[in-house]
Amino acid sequence: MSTIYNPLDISIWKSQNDLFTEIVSLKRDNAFITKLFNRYSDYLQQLCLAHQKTNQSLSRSDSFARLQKAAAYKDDDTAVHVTRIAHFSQLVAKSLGMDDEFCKLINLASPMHDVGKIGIPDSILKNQVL
Amino acid sequence: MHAKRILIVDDNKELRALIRMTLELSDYDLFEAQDGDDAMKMIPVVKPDVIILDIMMPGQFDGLELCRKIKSNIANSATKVILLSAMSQKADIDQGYQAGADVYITKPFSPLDLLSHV
Repeated sequence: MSTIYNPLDISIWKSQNDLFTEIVSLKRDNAFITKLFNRYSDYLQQLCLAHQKTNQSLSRSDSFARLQKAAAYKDDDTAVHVTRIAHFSQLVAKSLGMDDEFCKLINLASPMHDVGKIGIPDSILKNQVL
Repeated sequence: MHAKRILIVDDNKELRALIRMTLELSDYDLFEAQDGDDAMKMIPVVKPDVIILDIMMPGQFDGLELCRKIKSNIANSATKVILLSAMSQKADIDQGYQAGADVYITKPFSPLDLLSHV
């Protein structure tokens, strides 16, 4: 990760100067300061990763929710049907001894099982004549 | 002499982690409380030398109330209280010192600054 500073931005000069003053006023040796800053940079990286992961999973569940809604419009059944399927699939997965990650995933993914209906014409889907 | 005992009181987990990693490199005994109620229970047991205290926290006591309680108890009279708060108006800072705080640091803060006050 690299940051591009605008050298004309005086606020950065100032903040770097402040930081320098703070470091000097700590009266600690170089090894201490280096260790401390390495810790900060590790932690920052950790926080960034966690943030990225949350954002990814948020946007994923958001897409799932929208797809589900689209499928529900096509279906005569109530939208609660897919919610039921989500819970049942999770329960079945759990009783089969699947791990937590899988159970969570199937809870998210199973409501997608009817999304394909969007592409099928009503004349076929709603054909009563057999 | 025993190592300085420091109690970190903040409801924000990430902030507690930041303070912990700042102070951990020096020889301090660190303790954490996640709100005022938690801190009230810990203080008589831990007997901290320094308390780093957030002001706005969930629960029965906020940081100011807690600071008053600490400072009014003779058992804690030697305890140093560092208030750490996002409230940065002069009136807020005055209120902090009136509550008995030894140091008032406004957020966003430099952890190095905190290190020099402990």
